[in-house]
Amino acid sequence: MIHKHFRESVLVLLTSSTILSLELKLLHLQQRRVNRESSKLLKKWQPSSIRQCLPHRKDFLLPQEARYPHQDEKGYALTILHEMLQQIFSLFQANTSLEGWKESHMEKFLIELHQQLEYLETLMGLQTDQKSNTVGREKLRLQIKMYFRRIRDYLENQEYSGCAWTIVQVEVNRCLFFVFPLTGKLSKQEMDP
Amino acid sequence: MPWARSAAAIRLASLYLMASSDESCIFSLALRNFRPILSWELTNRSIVPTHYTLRHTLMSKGADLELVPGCVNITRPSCDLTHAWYSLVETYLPWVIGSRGGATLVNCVGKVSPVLEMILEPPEFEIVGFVDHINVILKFPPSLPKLPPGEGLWLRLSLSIEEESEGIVRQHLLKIDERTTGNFTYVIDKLIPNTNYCVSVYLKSENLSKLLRSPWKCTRLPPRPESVSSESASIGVLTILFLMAAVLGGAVAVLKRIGYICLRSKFPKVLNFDGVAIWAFPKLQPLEAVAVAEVIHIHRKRKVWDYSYGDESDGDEEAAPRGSGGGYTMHGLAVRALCPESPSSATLGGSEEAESLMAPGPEPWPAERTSGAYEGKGTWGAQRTSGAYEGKGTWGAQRTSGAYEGKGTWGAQRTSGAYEEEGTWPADPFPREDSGPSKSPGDRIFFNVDLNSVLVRVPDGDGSEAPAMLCLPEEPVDSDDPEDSAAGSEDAPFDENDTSRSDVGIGDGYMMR
Repeated sequence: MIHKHFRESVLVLLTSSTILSLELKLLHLQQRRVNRESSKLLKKWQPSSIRQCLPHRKDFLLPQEARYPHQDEKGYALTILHEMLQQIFSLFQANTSLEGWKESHMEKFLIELHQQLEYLETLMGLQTDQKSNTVGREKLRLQIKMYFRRIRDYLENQEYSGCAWTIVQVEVNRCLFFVFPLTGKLSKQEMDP
Repeated sequence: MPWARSAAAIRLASLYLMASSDESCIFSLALRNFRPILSWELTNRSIVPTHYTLRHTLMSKGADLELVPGCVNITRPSCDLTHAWYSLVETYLPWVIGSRGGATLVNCVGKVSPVLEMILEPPEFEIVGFVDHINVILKFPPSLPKLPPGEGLWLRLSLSIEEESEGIVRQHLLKIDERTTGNFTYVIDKLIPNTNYCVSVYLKSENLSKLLRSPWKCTRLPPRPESVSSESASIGVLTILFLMAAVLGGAVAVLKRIGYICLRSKFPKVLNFDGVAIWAFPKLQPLEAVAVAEVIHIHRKRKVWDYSYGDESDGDEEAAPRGSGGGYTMHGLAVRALCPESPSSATLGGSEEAESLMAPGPEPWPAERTSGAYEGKGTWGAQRTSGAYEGKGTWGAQRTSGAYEGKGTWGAQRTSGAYEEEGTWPADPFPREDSGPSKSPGDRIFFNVDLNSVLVRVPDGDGSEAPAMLCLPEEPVDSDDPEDSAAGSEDAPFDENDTSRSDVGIGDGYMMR
């Protein structure tokens, strides 16, 4: 019975490994596009002077785990990436009609985000179900959720002012460039069978 | 009220500066020798402060502005922020206050994101061209700033060296880390001599930093020196000479093997006659002047074989005693002079009949004789039994009971004292025993006998015994010829006694048994 499906299992694993290696390389390239579009969006939008926004600055306490994962497992990196991009996508999707942001720039940014999320979901689906360290990854997801909860609360408190959005845009850029090295590491690593 | 007017003017100026300070400065960040250098430029060039003071803070934190060490009350519009700005992902807020004589002329705040806006200036370098390679000498700072691990704006950078020649650009990437310090030489090899090459360098970042390409530095590689080409030519010549020597050696070996050259002169031992006793090969005796012996020619019809298998004709052709086509002829007859009263002549009975035709044989024969018989060794092995002689060798004349049969050149032999060599008989190689050995080997005579035309008669005093005669039964005999009839009668007893007469045959002129 085992030998009967052995060949199929091996083929699936080999195929998935090949696809996964290609996906990881695409992940790194796609993340670069996301970061570029985010930077362009930030440049296009200057709602107020920087001097006026200096008193409104806030430290949203980005989790250290997201900056420096203590484990180099692929699962951790994929979890961080997926949760973060998902939060960013939902944050900006809800506020596309912001004054000062050109619709074309915002649409382009969201398209790149969506593509990256698809890559991540494909990779997470090909990855073997690792029952170990599930709690740790869930904990990390929760931390990231809390982090973006704080951002949403700030925007709400600042009544979605220009300075608040400037500060949030700067923070989102900071997050994207923090996780960019993770995609580089993933593209250099091979998928564990 | 001049004091009041001055105060109002200063207040208006301050308000003007404060209102326009955020847009009055243009900030630029450049990574120069792995050190971030912030420089600023006033949009209003009419305002020229003499001193500048720089403060900074982070966008992600609500901290107050801080003074940058080493950038307080400076005269240049730039500041080294190596130990102040060391994170690529952060967004920094610089604040510059420009003054002159205590009066603040410029107060501007900016927003700088190193990962997006920092200009990566290429390092200084020099190129040295050789025949087939170029040395690119890169000048890096002697040491890197000491920062906490993982910190520094020069992290995750790579250096790109591009070489261009005839429109083809080749890129070489070098990874840069904290060990990349001091002068560093990179070799671009596998280049074509006597060709123009241009080199340019620039730093690359995996982020979105702006890169700045250095100006192209070009050089023309020197041509390949003659020593190199001559060296390669000498190697080629040596190779060709070696091949030629190998081919020549192989050809000589083959010729020697097949015997075309260097033939062996070493004969087998059996053919080596050095040291063999000379007596085995006695000297030839000088020819003696002798008279011509009487020769009785028997003219008989003889069938001459002309080797034509068509028509056999018994012509009247007579085989000439000499020089005939088919018969065996005499050659070079040399006999002793006949003495008129010599007993040999008497024994011959008038000697009107030729005893024999003798001719020098092809080779000498040994002088050893016993009992009138000849036993020889060497080229022919004459052997006789029962009075008959059987010889081997080159001739096969054989005779029994007084008849002559022998092989070899000739084997004239007589028995019962029928032959006396002295005087009458030219040279009997087989004299009787009482006659003793021949005085000299010169008594030997070689002759070739045409048995077809020679009648040999042995003179004998006793008439009881018919003289031995050669019998040639195969030859057609002319009955009219008296000589033939005599020969026929003489042949009769021979026929009766010799049972092996049928064995006698004439092949090429010799009689054989």
